[in-house]
Amino acid sequence: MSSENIGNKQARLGNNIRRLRFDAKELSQLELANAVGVTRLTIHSIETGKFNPSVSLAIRIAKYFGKQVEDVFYLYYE
Amino acid sequence: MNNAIGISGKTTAALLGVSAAGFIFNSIIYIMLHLKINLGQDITAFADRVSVYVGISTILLLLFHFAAIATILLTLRVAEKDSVLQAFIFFLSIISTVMIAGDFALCSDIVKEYGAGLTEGILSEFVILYFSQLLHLLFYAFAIVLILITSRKTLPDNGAKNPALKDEAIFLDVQYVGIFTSIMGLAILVALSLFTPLWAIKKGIITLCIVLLLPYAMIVAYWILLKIREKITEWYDEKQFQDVTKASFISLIASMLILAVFFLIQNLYTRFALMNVIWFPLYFFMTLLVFSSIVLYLNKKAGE
Repeated sequence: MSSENIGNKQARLGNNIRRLRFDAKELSQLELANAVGVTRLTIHSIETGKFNPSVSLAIRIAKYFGKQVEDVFYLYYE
Repeated sequence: MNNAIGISGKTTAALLGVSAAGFIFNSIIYIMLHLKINLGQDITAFADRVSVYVGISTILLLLFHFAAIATILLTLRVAEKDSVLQAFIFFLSIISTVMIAGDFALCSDIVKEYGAGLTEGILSEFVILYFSQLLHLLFYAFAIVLILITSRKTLPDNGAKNPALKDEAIFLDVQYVGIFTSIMGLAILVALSLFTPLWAIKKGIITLCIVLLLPYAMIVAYWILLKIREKITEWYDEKQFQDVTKASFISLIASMLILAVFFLIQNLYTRFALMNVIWFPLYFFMTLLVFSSIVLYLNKKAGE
């Protein structure tokens, strides 16, 4: 899981991509990857929290689903 | 693309049959040549009689290899997933092709040396020649696998319905070929160091390294050819770029350690002259192995 240290807690980047794909009629990772111009593995890595996308990619993904970036990506602390 | 793979696959299959006959013929001629030399017989008349047929067989063998390489490259282009097997077949195809030219040169050398009474190095030349035939045989076995793969790929219902616009398969196949190339390079360098006199290593090291590097150079060239239409900033996607950056950093650290070890060996063991001759290829193959392995590891780890 990608992380940053803020104070004593670690901030992690979560996302709703899996749910959004499900809502978009089980859109495949490959279809989303093709739509935003990355590889399927990059989408998989973002979805599983192994890779933090750039701001540009985060916006492209959010736009694809017709959402704001905060609706797709969020920070949580642990 | 599917059509091109189909045509290429069928051409490879047709040439496989014809060239296999040529391959068997050439192998028999090499064995007969060896037997005649062992018996101390004159080989000039025999060599003259068979040379044209050996030449024709060699051309057929080359055509088959070129067709197979074209099929592999086309198959790699449309592959949905990376494949160790296809990367290995590509690697083997290049080595086997280079060895065909080697066979021809070796045979000419053997005939000339024997004619001139220089029999000392002939046995080792035959060992390389037989090893080369084994490689060709191995390639024939894998070429059958390749033909099966391509025939499956061209079935109407099995085409890629949604091909990846940003490839990841060929990117990973490049890393596999990098690993195969570096392992083979290191193995041959170690074998040379143990069994070959220094003067012979010095004489052939540059040519040998160029040959050893060919599979990697060719697949990288092919990848660049596919990418050339894109902007250079788009050659990698951002996850690939991060993996390549991490791998480059680790390779840099590893290369400094490797060079430090070489430096110590050269300074502490002044009589270890071999290191002066092979240090660069040794360093290069080690660094390539580290780089390709790390890129592959990071990619596979992310895919879990």
